[in-house]
Amino acid sequence: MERAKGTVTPLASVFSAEESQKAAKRLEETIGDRQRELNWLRGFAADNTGLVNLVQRLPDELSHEIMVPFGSAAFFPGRLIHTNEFLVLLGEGYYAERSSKQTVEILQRRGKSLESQVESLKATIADLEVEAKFLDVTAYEAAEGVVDIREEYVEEDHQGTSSNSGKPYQFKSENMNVAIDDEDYARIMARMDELEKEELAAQSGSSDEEDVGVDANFGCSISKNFFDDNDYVRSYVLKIRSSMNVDSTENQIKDLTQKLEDAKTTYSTAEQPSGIASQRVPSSRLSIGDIKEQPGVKESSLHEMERIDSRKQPPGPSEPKKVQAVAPVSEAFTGTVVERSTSSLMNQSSASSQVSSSNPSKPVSRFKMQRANRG
Amino acid sequence: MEDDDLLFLRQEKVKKYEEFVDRRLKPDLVRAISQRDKVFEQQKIFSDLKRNIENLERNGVTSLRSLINLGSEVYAQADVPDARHVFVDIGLGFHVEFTWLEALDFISKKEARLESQAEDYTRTIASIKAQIKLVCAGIQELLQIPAE
Repeated sequence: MERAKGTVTPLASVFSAEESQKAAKRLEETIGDRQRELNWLRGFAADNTGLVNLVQRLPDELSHEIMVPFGSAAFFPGRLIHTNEFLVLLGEGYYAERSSKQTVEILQRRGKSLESQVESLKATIADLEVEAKFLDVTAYEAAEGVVDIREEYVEEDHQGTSSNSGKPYQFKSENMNVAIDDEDYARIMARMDELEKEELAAQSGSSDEEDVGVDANFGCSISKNFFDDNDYVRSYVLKIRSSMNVDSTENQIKDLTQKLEDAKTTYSTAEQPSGIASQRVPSSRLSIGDIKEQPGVKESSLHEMERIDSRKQPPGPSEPKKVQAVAPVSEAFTGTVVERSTSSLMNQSSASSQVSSSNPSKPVSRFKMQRANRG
Repeated sequence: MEDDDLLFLRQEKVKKYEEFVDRRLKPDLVRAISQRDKVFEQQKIFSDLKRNIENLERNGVTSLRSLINLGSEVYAQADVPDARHVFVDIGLGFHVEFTWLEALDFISKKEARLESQAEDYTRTIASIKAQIKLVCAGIQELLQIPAE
């Protein structure tokens, strides 16, 4: 199995310690500026609340003895009159005559806008502080000689880990956007063909019992006695990657589960060799399901999934695992399209009729090929 | 070797002089200028007051109404029943009750005082500027000599 190669970069070569420190210092200065601005705004807010109190109190009496300022260096003794009349600046040099109550309303609105300004400024400061802290840490780490190790993320097939063979199947995560090289791809394809043949061989053994229609539709079939004794299962499993909407996928899965139940009843009575198996994914995993469908019922959606899948999951050149997970419907299933052959399951039986498999995964486009062959 | 030492010494000296200019003279200059600006402001306040009082005198006003700013551009009406006496800020937080004539007398004295203060500050500013120029010239000389 090939492993993705990682790269090691000294942090210092990306962020030099000095530069980071300089940036951090500059950020600190900006934070200082913002802090001053904040204090300034808070001063305004305090003035505003003071003024609200004053304006509320003034109409309590008819007049107040005050010193009337006359310029800023002199005043006259005098008194406030018309204590319920205020002239309020609306902006742009326009003033409105308001009563005490109305003035208070105006001032409270001003206070609110001041508050929101204070809040946004606080948020800005918090952001800057986090940034400065990050830069500080980076500078420190760069000076310490920390290195940055990057490795492609390879997700493990969870079914694989629980399998008998124990060797987890790995595929490249779609997040990495890594294109597999042609070499890899060729090897995968070769392996696929191999499996394909194996499967065909296995199929031919029991082909007389199989419903052709199922094969024609899905390239997968379930032997007639699948529902009779639950022992032999061949299924294609689609796993839908997390890119799909979780809700809709889960709904779909439920839907399919329902259908499976229906199909089971139908088949057990009519002995028709096709069925639907679907599995629910534990909710912790993002949207994975395997789907087997009644011929023609949901072909289009299956195709859609196939497309999604083949686009997203270039399978790695791993050894196929003969895995049989005995999984009830509610159990999990992780992300790949898996095919398993009858032969691989021969020796294993599941207690329940829902059987999941996690086997050598293939790009789903193989489905189509197979179908073409059979059709 | 001695030349190197000399060069080093001179560089140190140049550095010292530059520091003196940047850390001592320039802040001093800024301070002096801001103080002079304050004096100018005072001058303007008192000249306004003088003009206003002269206005009142001319119109023979005995009572007046005005709008006072409560803060945040909210104004309330105020009534002054007796405008013949005015309280004037004489500095250090003291206000003295003057009649108009007394006030005008005080204001003219105050203005003269402010005038001389402003002149003082102007002189100080000029001298600081001269010192800066002098030190700069000294630095230039120091830098030219080592070239020989």
